Amino acid sequence: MPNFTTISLDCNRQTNASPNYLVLTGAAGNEIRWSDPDLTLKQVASASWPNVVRPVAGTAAVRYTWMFDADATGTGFISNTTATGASGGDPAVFIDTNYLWAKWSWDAVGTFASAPITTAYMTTAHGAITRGNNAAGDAILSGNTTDTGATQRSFLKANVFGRVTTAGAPAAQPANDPVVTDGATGAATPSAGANWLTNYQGLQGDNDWCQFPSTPAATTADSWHIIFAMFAGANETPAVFVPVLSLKYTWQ
Amino acid sequence: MAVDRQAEALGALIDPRKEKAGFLNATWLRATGRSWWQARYSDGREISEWQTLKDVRNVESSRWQETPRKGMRALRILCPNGEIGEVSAQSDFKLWQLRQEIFAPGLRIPTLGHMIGVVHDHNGSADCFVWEPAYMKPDELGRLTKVEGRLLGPFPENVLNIRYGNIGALGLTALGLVF
Repeated sequence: MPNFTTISLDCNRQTNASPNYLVLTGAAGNEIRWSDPDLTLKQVASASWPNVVRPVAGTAAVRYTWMFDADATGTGFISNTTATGASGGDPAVFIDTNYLWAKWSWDAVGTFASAPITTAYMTTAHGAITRGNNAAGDAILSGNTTDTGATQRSFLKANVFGRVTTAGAPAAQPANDPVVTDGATGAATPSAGANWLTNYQGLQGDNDWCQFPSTPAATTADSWHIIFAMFAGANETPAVFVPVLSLKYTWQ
Repeated sequence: MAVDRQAEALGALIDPRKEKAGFLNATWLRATGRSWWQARYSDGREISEWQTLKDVRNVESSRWQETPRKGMRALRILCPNGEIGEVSAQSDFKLWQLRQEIFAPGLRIPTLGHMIGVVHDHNGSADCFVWEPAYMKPDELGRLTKVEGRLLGPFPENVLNIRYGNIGALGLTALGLVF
């Protein structure tokens, strides 16, 4: 079968009880951004995005997340709106009781050849990340010993669900809240069925990633639920970070 | 996901699905600038990927799943730089091909790798070739340099956990593999 025509990352802009997903495509300007403590950023262009100040000591969650379908046209995650831009809303503080956070979606055109993977890279060339490198080019994903653990994990965490949405969307939050040291080397795969990962996974390129538990059905439109959580740390080398949130997949 | 403008233009002039295998190979490969699979059968037949295109202007509309596996004895990967990799099997349902890609919001990332392979035994041991297309690699300052495409292989793998590209277990049913 051919490749998929449409894959997207659908982000919940309304509420957990009544989700409304903004479809982020491969078109320029489609992106997710994080900030803390600023709230009113739904019409701020990428080039004007404010700094996030790292904690003076220890680590902290970056509490607010936005989705943009054009450079200065966005809305917050769980912002109780169905619009973007001027009619958009401010994001809710991250909490994983809002488990209908986002989902990777694909159309009925293509056929997977293996289970899809979700991870993050620092460049569009999907280059290797050196664990613990903590350089300006990669500190957000490479981590450091003091902040993200002896085995240095990414500051960007994710939890993924163990079945496609047509088999049943998540109806409860993950067992554990994300913590900055979360992560497992290699693939983190939830048990097949209505299961989240027990702990969040750090997204660190080809070092640490999340994988769906099976190969999704051929030529069947579906989606895979995911929650992203971001942290910052006192020892994180500051820079402008543009991690590439990726769905890595095979087609036949 | 990608629209190949060169193939689209060539497809408007020539329909490769109607040509004999071999006649168009070099022209088609150079014009499209991508790798293609080609299968050989025990009765001498040969099917090239471009013959299975649903839409000749869409190079990603080929039909591996509908390509006969019975009698398939060899699978080639034809690369745009002229290199060829081939795997062969002595029985049916042992050969596969796949492409690995990435979707990311706001980006269109082309194919990472095109793999062909053969599974040898009930343990899943296999041999593979992968064509990695050329890509632009940024340095620390964001300057881009071109990394040329290359054919890797043959190299050993296991279909129950493909290490290349962190693919993991292949979808055996989806790919029609029996071992």
